[in-house]
Amino acid sequence: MSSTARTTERAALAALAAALVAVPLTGSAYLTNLSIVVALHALPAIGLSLLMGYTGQISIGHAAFYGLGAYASALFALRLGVDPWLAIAAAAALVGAIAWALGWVIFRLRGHHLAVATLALGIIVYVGFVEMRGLTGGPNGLSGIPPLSVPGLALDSDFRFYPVAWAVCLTGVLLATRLIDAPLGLAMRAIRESERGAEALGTDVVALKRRILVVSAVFAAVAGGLYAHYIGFVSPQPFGVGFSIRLIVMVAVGGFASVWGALFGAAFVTLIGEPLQKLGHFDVIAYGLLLVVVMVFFPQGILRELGRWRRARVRATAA
Amino acid sequence: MMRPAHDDRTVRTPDVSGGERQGVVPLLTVRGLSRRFAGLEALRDVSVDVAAGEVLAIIGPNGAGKTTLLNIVSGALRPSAGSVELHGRPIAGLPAHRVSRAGVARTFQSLELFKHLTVFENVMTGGVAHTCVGVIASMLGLPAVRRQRATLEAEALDTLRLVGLDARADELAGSLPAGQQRLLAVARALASGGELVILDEPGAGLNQTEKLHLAEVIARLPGRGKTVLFVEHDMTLVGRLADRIVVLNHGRKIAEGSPDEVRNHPRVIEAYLGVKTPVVRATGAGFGDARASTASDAAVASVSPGDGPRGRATTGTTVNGPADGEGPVATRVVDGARSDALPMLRVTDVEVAYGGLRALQGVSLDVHRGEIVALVGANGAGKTTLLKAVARVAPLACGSIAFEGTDLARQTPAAIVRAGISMVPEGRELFSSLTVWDNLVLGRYAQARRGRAEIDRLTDEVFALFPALAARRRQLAGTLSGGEGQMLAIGRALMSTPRLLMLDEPSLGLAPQIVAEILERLGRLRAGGLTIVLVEQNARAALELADRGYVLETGRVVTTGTGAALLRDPEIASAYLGRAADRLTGAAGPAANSAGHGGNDADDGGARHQGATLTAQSTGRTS
Amino acid sequence: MTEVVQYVFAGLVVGAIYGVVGMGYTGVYNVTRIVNFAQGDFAMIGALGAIAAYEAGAPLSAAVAIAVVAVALLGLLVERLAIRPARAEEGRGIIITLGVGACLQGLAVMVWGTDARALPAFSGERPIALAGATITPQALWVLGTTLALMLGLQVFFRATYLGKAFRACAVNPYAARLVGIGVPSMHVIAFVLSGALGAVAGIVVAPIVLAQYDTGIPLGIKAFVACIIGGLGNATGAVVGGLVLGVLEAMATGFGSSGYKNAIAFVLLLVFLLFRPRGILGELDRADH
Repeated sequence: MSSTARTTERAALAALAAALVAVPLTGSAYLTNLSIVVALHALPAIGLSLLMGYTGQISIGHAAFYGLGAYASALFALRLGVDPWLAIAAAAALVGAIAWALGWVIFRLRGHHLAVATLALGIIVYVGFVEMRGLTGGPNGLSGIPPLSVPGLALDSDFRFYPVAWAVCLTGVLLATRLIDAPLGLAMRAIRESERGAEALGTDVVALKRRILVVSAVFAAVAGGLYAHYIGFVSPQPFGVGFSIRLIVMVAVGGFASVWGALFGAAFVTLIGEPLQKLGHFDVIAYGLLLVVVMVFFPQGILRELGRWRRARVRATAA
Repeated sequence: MMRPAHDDRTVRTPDVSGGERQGVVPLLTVRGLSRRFAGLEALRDVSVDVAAGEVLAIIGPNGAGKTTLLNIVSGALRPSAGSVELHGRPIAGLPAHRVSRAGVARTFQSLELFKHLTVFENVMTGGVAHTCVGVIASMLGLPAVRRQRATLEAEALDTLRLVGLDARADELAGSLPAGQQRLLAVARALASGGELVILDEPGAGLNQTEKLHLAEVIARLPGRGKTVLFVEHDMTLVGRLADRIVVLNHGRKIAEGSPDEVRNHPRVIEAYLGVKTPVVRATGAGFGDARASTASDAAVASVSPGDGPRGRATTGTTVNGPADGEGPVATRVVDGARSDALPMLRVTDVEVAYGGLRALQGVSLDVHRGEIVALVGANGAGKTTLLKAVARVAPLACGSIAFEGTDLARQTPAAIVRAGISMVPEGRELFSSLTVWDNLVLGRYAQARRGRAEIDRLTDEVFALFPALAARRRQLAGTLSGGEGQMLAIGRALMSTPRLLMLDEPSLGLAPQIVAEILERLGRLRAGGLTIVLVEQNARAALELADRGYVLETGRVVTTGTGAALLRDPEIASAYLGRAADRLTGAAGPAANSAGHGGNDADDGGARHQGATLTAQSTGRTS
Repeated sequence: MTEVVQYVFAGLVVGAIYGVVGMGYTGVYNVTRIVNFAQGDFAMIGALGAIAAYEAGAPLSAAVAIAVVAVALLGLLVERLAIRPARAEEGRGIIITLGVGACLQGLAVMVWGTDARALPAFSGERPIALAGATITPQALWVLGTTLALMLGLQVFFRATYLGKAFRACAVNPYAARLVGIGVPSMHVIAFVLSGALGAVAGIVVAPIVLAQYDTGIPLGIKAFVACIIGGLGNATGAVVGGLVLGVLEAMATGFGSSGYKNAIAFVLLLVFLLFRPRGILGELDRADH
């Protein structure tokens, strides 16, 4: 990496650290809550980036893993009395297993077939949330989910939950970047570039796709579990196709194949979502427009494209 | 890897010249391999042994089954029948990644590079699979990951140095020029560690310098314990590298042996240059006969000095084949036909490069009204690319093409058709789920006058020319036989009332009888005033029909002359079968310089191809 | 027994709509290889547009015509502004059309709000007795329109020059170029056709099923399922698949729970994707270069 890129990276990291520290210090519950939402959305976005951006497999149903993680963790805690920390871990393991089973079946498909299959799966799970009232509480969902706690302290306020959310999120960033930087990350990117080529070099392409699916599902499930114990209730509504599409927007804004980009995308979309909420249902058009604009004009993600423009302008003025 | 208990067999591999060889158990054993694709038999009962440490080339004309063979050995395809064993272990039918881990590395014709990864990363990826570190370990950043990365980086650097790409290690693979991309593909395959290295057309689209460099790299591989199996069309390259050659045609093995043996093998020559076709001339033949009769019978290797069609032949010197650098090539003119009239089609210094491949390098030719011009040459010579450039479906990097005086530079393909040029593409390219009638009707699409009356008139003419189609007008094009399909493709092109008709390999996959019929029709069309450019691998048949011809070799025109004169020219065979060049591996090649040629360039080891001209071949004589 | 027949009728009607919308997918997919996920939203906008025109005072037939033309133009705009500039190939195309669909949804909300609206039935509402069950005139309109469109498209594709050129483009784009067919123009035609078909589907069913800003997505998805069942790229397949899906859904609603009805479509989808991805009638064979 060039030295200018390294400096920019250091600056960005410093800015992020400063922001993370500053937010709770402002004393604003609203900002803290917003920041937690960013963290909880960033995790599934990072997982999706690993799957779509790096390994090149489309998924329009990722909200399902998030929702499954939330419901599973809630049920483990409510029905089985499991400690919330364990409940989240158990939920993640369960969703991981589901994803692994799915991986055997779904990666026979490619391109639009895969895209639609993931969409279908997402919707089936959503319908399940709504219809299986005995288990999920139907459209009203489950309430009274116990919050996470450390000895002596229940993490039931924004300020108390905040460090957990970001600790987990940053751990996710760390794990994901380690994966990408490892030689296995090269194999993942190779699959996106040319499956034939990767296969001929000895990579078991289907097996690797399956494993990455599990990783991305677990990221989403952990975030879902945290969400459940943060909000205290779950209902089907946030886990529908709309969220799956919002996740894609986040990843697209971040440039698809970028872990930090996914984090940026999550922040971008969440922050934009705030003023848009006042528009009520109009936020849909904004997301749609954003997606189209990003795909057409910023195929490498907003940051990278802006960076390219800046460098091109610098070169032009220097010439 | 446990080997099944075998007695150490000595294997006799009889080759065509009657000799026998003894060796130990071969590295790769292919027995009775067959493969069908929906009725087409791509491979039929092919058996080959590859000994450890040897360099084996697989050659053969278009559609011979070479890539299918490679695909089956590497696991990309399952065979319909037969077996493949590596070190005695069966590998046929295993998925490609398992075959790779068993010890087979390969490159693809289409390269399949990881374009957005750097050169270094591409090569590192080659080694990832067999230094297995899993997902969890990678995420946790365990020490194994660091060790893995260090090993891979060291190996990658080593491999890049071997191929000479270490200076470009940090560039994106997609930004490399074609020659270096080919080298990168080889490097990446080497990094996967396989003992058997399979290369699919490694030299495609490279210039001479790049090919030389590639050949040097490949020549070093046996010394590193590798065995090489490769498919190539450039016979000079094959001659440089191969210990042995296996020749396939129509899915069967037709010859096997040393390069010299294969080069002079009558069945091989016949496979490449074509067979004498049963029916010869059309009635009402026009210019063709007239010119042939003025051709001097002694005009074998002589050059008409000065004024060939473009004044290109240089006086006194003859230069064989392509130059080894990038300089302009003096084309040999064999009894050049002189014409002062403005040619109908004039191609000047055309260069075409696409997908990074340099397909044409400075090609010039003329086509005059009312003649049939044949473009012949081996696969990969650039014939199809030239037609595509004229039809404007391939972009010109350099040069110009003028039709009846008008430059074709900025025309759309539709405008080309309106201007009067029609192409019958290679492989016919019919609209298979539309009827014969619909296919013909669509041939008229680009023209303004396409009302019912006009269409009826034109289709009647097509049916008159090809009666077999008339009875089938409602049949789906995809269900036609090969010959009928070819006729339909020609008919479709004729519907736009072209003044210049270009045909790309019309004889591909057709029986000689049908080929004769089609060529006869072309003769009739010429008699009616149509100008025709005919690209053919079946050089003999094409040159018998044509008035004039051009021989292409690796993107350049190397010889031109009247059809009859080219038929008698022994250099044609060299364009397909190469010359005995200096060997890079094994014993030194022949050094004798034959007296008949004045010039000599680095490519030509001197020993001229043993005069198997197209005409001499039919009597089995080599003059 | 009359129950079953009733369910079958209901299913056929809904299924026919899936089929018509599915035909729109087919055209676009064949020529551009893109699955246009905004297809359902074309239907939704067509319906809402016709309703708006009608409520503004236009006679019913004029309102219908205006809406169909408007959505056809919308299809053209989408191709020009979103698809072509991105030089969209399969993967990106899907995501872009998702975005377009969301945009259209938002547009609908902005213009028409979130209320459900209805179009009056074309020929009154008195049910007709048939085979022991009853069927409304509008349902007959739906079936009739579907049949007419199927036949119309068949005629277009088989008997007209443009239609043949369109098919040629789908079957072998390289040869189409050689012969002088302008492939980009065909892309535009595909999207215009898809807009028009979607609009007609949405309009003709609007009197039965209320039109609302969010009816587009489920319709679009189910129509796509219909295509997969019948064979993507095959217009007849889209209708066959639609009818199968519609009847199965109706049966499930009738004999089971209405909530699970939605899941049926997707379970069917997965079953077909996994075991018979080419659908009942098979996909169109295309020469790829």
